[in-house]
Amino acid sequence: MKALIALLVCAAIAAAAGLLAPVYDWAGGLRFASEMFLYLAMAQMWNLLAGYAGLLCMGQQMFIGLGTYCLFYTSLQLHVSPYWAMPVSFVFCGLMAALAALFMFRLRLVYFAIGTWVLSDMIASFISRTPELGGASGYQLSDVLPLINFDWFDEVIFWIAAAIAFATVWGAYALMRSSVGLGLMSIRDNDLAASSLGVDVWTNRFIVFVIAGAGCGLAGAVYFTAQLAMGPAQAFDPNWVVAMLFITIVGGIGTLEGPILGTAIYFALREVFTNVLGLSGAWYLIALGGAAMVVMLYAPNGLWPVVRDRFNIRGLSVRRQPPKSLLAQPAE
Amino acid sequence: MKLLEVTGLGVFYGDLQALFDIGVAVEAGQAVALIGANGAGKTTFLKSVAGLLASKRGRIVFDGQEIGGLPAERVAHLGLALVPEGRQLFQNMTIEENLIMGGYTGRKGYWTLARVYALFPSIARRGGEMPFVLSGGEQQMVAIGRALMANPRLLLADEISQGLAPVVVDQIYKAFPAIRAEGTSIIVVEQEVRRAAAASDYTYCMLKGRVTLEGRSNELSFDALSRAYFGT
Amino acid sequence: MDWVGLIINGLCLGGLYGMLGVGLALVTGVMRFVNISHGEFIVMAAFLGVFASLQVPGINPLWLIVPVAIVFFFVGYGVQAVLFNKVVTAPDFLAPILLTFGFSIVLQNVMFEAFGTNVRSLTAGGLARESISVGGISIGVLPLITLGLAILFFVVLQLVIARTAFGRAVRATADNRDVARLMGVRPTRIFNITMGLSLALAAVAGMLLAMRATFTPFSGLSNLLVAFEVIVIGGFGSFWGALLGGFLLGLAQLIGLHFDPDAGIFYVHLAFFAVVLFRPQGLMGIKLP
Repeated sequence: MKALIALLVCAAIAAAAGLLAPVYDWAGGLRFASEMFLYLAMAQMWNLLAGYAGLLCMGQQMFIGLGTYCLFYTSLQLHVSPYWAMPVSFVFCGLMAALAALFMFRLRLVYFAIGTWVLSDMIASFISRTPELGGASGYQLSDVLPLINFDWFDEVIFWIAAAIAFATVWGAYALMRSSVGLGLMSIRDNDLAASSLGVDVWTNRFIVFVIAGAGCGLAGAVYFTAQLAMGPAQAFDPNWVVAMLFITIVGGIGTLEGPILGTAIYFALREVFTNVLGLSGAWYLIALGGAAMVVMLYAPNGLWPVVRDRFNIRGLSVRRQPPKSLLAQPAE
Repeated sequence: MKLLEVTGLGVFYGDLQALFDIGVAVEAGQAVALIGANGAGKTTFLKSVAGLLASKRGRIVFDGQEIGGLPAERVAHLGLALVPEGRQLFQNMTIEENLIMGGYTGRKGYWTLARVYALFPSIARRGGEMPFVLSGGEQQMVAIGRALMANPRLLLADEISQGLAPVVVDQIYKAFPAIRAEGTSIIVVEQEVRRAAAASDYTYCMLKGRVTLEGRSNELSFDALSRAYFGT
Repeated sequence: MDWVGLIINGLCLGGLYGMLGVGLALVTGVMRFVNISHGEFIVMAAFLGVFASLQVPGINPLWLIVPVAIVFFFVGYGVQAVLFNKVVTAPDFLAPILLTFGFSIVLQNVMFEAFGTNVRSLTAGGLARESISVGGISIGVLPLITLGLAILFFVVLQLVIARTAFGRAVRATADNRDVARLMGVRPTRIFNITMGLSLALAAVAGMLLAMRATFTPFSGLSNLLVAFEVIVIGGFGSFWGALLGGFLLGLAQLIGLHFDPDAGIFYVHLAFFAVVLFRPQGLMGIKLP
């Protein structure tokens, strides 16, 4: 209940920001916030995969790329506004994830991790060399620009991004509180024991993989819609996974609040490095990589658990509590 | 001076305390039995003496030297060898390589490859085979032989009768006098009370992480042992 | 269509791929984690080779392979001792992957800051253009040397692992770390030396790759992926499987490039997936863990 209230409060704040933006001309702020929301959504998806389903997917950028290409292709070919192409992206990526799972799930653990990376590399390479799919230069939305109302473009993107972010956080919370979530957590801890208890490991992982693929695809599609252009190098950039990984690990893998904290840190670092210190992108990546290493060595569960345990916050915890009636009874 | 003297040993798995105030002593040349039911803490005791468990209190003095803080690889060089529970032979090498691996510390003494084969004739001509083709009893012999190859002053044998037929276990225990004769003292952990008593000079009984009874093996009554074993 | 020449060159490239794989296989077998920064060390060795080659312009870079490999043995020893040993004992399988992934990001970008994006390569001088004639077929000398070196290193590595006391200690540690400790083996020392060997092999492969093709600070990724694919299709735990896997991928690569010249390592990936789909136990029939 408390979690629901917290989420609603955040939603109200974001709604207020969105409504006030055109009044105060916060376009830049809106774009920044949109980006943050999209990264948060993607990180939540990656966290679901790695932290809850035990699937370390180093090739998750493949869905960002596929979602983006689906949106641009659909929008341009059918000559519709990109907003209508977004749900198509979502469904397409879900299907692609389902297909990929069929053979990728044969690989376990780290082999799965790198195998997905290989697959992503292959798809990017193939698209790059296929002129019918835009080749190495990709697509621009120039042909459908007249279909977009640019007075409200930043605001609409903001709303969509915010909605996606909330959907992923709330959706993940709901999923984890359900029986599917309980099954997932048992799989994460010990998949052999889980399956011997009758938890269908394959199906549970499949569900999460499809949801995560669809979610990342949609987030990527929205991101590049805001840019109005994309290419295979950007859409399938492995640095997407670097970001998702950093946010999730530093924030706190396997917790729902972790990616929120991680996203804030990620963007704070980025602003400090590029705007305040004026250093090149490479230094920023060095800092990211270094920070991930330090966290892995000294706080492997991420920073959120440190904060949470220090201040005893329950937050969006999905840990089941025993019913109050049981707690009141003396033990044995 | 005692070969091994353990006083006030407490061992922890994380926050859980598994052993409480254990006191065990072994004289040079002795065979000591450590008996108790499952979960009593016998394996935990052997592993902590051998240096595999770091989280502990109390003193472990081996041959006059404090070894409580040493890791297993250092303890092995000092002449203490553990035959681990369940044999745990190296599956990716042959029987002979397993035995040679036992001599990694380079400690010199009576035991060589040839003499180990002489002690356990059943495995003598099977050096080139892989562990998984051997029977449980033969694997146990290899495990003991592997420990002997380090020419230890103290041999710790963890549940060597586990999962084996009594006839086979008899065969293995027949090797003990020869091992002792060459100057190796033994601590044998067993669930079978009679066999342990027959093979040892002194017996300790454990229950739930504590020593509940100790005494000369031939002086302990069956009743006293049962009570100490089961805690009734 | 010079099939025989293509096949032989494919095998030579395959030997190189096998070497990439076996360096990684050493680490996965003994320490049970995948060093995602393995590719970056391959590239760093190539940069070191270029740098060293500029210092001694008269000497053919082939002679620099051994010194560079020795340097990287110590680099590997050091990195393992200082950094990787902290996560090797972690029960969590994610920790080493994520640590080495972070490390690879750091290394790539440090190289980028230091060396820029210019493509580099090592020239083996005249040797790169020479070829010998065997039974009427022209085979490049450099590819042959590469194949020869790959097989030599494989044989030496296999002998070390199978016949020496150190090799036994490595196998023991890989099988059962605690029982190996009971025998007096110091696991951290074994890990340090193993990582040293792994990076030394990576260095050799890096130098040879640099002589075949250009590289940039970001070339590490494709090298890592190839190394990884080699050990997966070769079968976990088999060095000869890695060599065979390398051959298969090398052949796939060159045959693919013949028909589709700009494909990068696409056909390597394709061959990898084909094996994963149709023979998931790998070429040597060993089950994937």
